[in-house]
Amino acid sequence: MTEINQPTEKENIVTMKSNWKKLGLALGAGILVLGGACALTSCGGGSSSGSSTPPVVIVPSDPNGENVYQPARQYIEATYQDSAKKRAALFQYAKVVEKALADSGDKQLSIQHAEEAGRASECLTYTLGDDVSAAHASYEMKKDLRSIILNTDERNKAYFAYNDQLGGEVFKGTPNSQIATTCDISPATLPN
Amino acid sequence: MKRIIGVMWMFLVWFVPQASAEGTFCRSETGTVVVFGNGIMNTKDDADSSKEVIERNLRSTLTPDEFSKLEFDLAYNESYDLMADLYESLKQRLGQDNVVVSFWRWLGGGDEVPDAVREELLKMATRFDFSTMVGDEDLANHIALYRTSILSGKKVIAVSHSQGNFFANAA
Repeated sequence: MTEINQPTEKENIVTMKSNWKKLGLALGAGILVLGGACALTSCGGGSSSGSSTPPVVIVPSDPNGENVYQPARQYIEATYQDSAKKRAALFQYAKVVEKALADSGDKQLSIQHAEEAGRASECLTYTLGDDVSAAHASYEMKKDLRSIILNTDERNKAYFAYNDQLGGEVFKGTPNSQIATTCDISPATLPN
Repeated sequence: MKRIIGVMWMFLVWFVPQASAEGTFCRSETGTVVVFGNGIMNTKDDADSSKEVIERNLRSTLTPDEFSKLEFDLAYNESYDLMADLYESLKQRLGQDNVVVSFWRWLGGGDEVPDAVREELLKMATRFDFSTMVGDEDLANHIALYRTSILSGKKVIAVSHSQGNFFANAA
């Protein structure tokens, strides 16, 4: 358990640092420590100190990650800082899984989300390249992200229920000629 | 007798090429559907990935023209609560917090698998009856896919893993 939690926290810190840089809010180390301590001790209510220093929060920077489950968004941004294309494809996948968890009690919605998840997976693989290694890499990326998304007992149970709704269903793949359409955000429009 | 054989030979020589050319004798094929059937305890996400690996492998071995004639579909086979059963059993043995965080990493090979997980998997395997794992209702959609594809003039190739073979055979 600890082996999983520790890297995630480190990644969060990396994300925090990069965002501070981008926002131009690189405060001194001492202020950060004080701010962090303040947040930890819940003294940041703002009523008594009068300080305008906000509590330490992680502010993801990629707008394509809006409405993505926060731990997943932080993980994606920290892990794939160098690729907006990978982030966009993984955000798409994470959003679909989130919908699938929310609607796991409904068979028709589960099937619909499973179709969307299939497209998100195709998009991710398409984003990664044309060869077999892209499909393997896509699988690994989805698998790692899934362990972040399913981080509570309730979410795991919902994921099981979602999969159980899909037994016996048939899912059509996207023809290769239309594979680019599987991405909600075209990779061609992203910088890297 | 010779005359009869001669007439039949004339008929075959004349009719078969004509009919084949017009697509009336043999149904003209418009492509091939490659259907992947997943094994037990595969999530839909994992099955999607397996299908993509098959697709990419074929893409690398066929010509673009040959590859363009293929479609890739997934006939998803459920796991009949086995994954949820494993999850609950492990929670009892290892504690909820441990299992919630590590379950998918164990199954996916991201973390070393504890002995308890191996033991539970072994227990499940010994009491598992594959013969009861092909439900008529589940099979119906698969058969419909095969039938629709064949009736539209396509070949169907079923690629199955583990439990998927039972479904493919039953279909």
